[in-house]
Amino acid sequence: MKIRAFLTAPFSPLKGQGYNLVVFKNGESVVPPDLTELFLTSCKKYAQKFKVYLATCLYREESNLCMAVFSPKGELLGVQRATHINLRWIDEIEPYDDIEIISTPLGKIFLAVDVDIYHPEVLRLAIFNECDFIVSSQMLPMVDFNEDRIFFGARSAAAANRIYIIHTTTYSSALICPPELTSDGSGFLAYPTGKEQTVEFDWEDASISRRALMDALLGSNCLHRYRNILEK
Amino acid sequence: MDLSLQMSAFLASVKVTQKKIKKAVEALGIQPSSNMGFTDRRAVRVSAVQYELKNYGSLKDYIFDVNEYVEEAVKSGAQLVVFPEGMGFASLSLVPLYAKIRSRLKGAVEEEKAEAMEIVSDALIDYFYEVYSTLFSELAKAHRIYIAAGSTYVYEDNSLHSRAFLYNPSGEEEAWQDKLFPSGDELDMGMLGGESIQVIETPFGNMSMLIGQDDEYYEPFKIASLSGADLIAFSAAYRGSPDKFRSMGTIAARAYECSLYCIRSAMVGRFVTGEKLNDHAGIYGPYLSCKGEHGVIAEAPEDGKGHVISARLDFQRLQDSLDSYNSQSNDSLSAQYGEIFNQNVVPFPSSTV
Repeated sequence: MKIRAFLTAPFSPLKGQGYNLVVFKNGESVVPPDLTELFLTSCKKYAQKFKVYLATCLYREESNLCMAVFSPKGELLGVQRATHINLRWIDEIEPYDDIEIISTPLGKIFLAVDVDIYHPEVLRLAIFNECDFIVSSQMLPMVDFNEDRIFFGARSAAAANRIYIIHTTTYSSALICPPELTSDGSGFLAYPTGKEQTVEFDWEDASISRRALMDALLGSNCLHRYRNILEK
Repeated sequence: MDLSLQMSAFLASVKVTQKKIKKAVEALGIQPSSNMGFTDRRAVRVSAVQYELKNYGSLKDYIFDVNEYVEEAVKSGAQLVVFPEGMGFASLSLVPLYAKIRSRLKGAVEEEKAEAMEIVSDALIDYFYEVYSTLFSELAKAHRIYIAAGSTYVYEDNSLHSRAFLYNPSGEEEAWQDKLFPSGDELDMGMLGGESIQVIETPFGNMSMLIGQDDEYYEPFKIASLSGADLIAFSAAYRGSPDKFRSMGTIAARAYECSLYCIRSAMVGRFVTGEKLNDHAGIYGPYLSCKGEHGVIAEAPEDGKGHVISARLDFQRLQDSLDSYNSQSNDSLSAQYGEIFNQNVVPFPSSTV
């Protein structure tokens, strides 16, 4: 399935044609609870107006940190709440205990909410639940914004799980894939940039190697022995 | 079995014996180090070997060369030295009829190389193990340090394993670890992946050993970390094309995800099958606790030559420098992930009649 996505600041007008997905980068802060209803209504209208699937930036809903996907008709197709919290926010936000793969005609999408991208077991759960690609949104303050944060998060997750990841922060957006699918071995099909950008990919290009990875994990002689440890 | 290989294996067992190895090590006149005299988990000295494959003219040359790496590590204060994956094969060039074996392996078409290698390692497996185990045991004892000797192939219970051994300062085999995720070629050779991950207690801290493609999976590192390991002695011999991002995307990422120090050895030069090994050794840690960028504490040059790199590690820092981005845990979610492995896994698909 071919995806043509526009990665942009929230509610920027979509110029050009042929897009089937828009991903909102984060603003300077997470959408606060008192603006959530208005934010979601605006997202719905945006998706309807431009007739695209829309993956939102981070927003608060009660005590959870969330992302959502809307259909071109404005339907809310799914919400993912953060399963792990940055320790700086641990007093304000509660972790959620489940992951939801959102089925769309574009493919099955997993939304990696904020620091979930740094937790390998979350991404593993997503691929074992057969997600086709991941949209990751991170709130990184400028002081923490550096290439290692992207390299050891989204880039590592794409390589380790052999999957495409659309990655956004307040200051950047990128398209990351298994490194072997890039000519320079970097894993970046679109390098992080602060500007809005268009990215295109076909998530099926990584499907076979991901299947092989999952078979290797399930066929491993050791991992089932450590089930109790992997549960930690 | 091929007659020339049978002869070669027999002659090798006569030419290279434990006694000759011990004598050759003794002749080096190694003075025992005092590196293990003081141990503190806040100041652990480790070395990673970037081993350059060579064709040795004699057993003496081979032992001299391997000892040069150990000696350099010892001079830098190393308490633990880590050698690469496939170190057992490093003595191949000492085998009688080596030129014949080499041309056979080099001449094999790509799809038959694994099979040709299997035949050779089948014939020489006992020789490789004897040379490897005797030499590293003697060197560990002579220098009075720990040596994670990299891996060699062993047969056990009618199955092939790629196994790494740890020798202690008394020269004893302290522990071993089987490769958990054999490569495609190794699976074709009938290799079985390891069933468990050992955490080894040493005077300087707890460590585990992992091998080869194991660094593509975060799980073994996490298991080691949650079982108390501070350090992974990782034996690699990467045979793919040059990849400047590889270490960052594998071993350095594992160090960050699992809050561990990883000592990654490497093998360079030309493999007996003709493949060029493009790799470099490195020492990595969770990047917030490292002074260098990208989690790199030390890295050997990518010049295709042999090197030893060393570093002093502070295991306490692993606990002290929590990263707020990846330190929170979610037991309920982890339980779901553990459930994936809650099944009677059959290692290889069996055909139904």
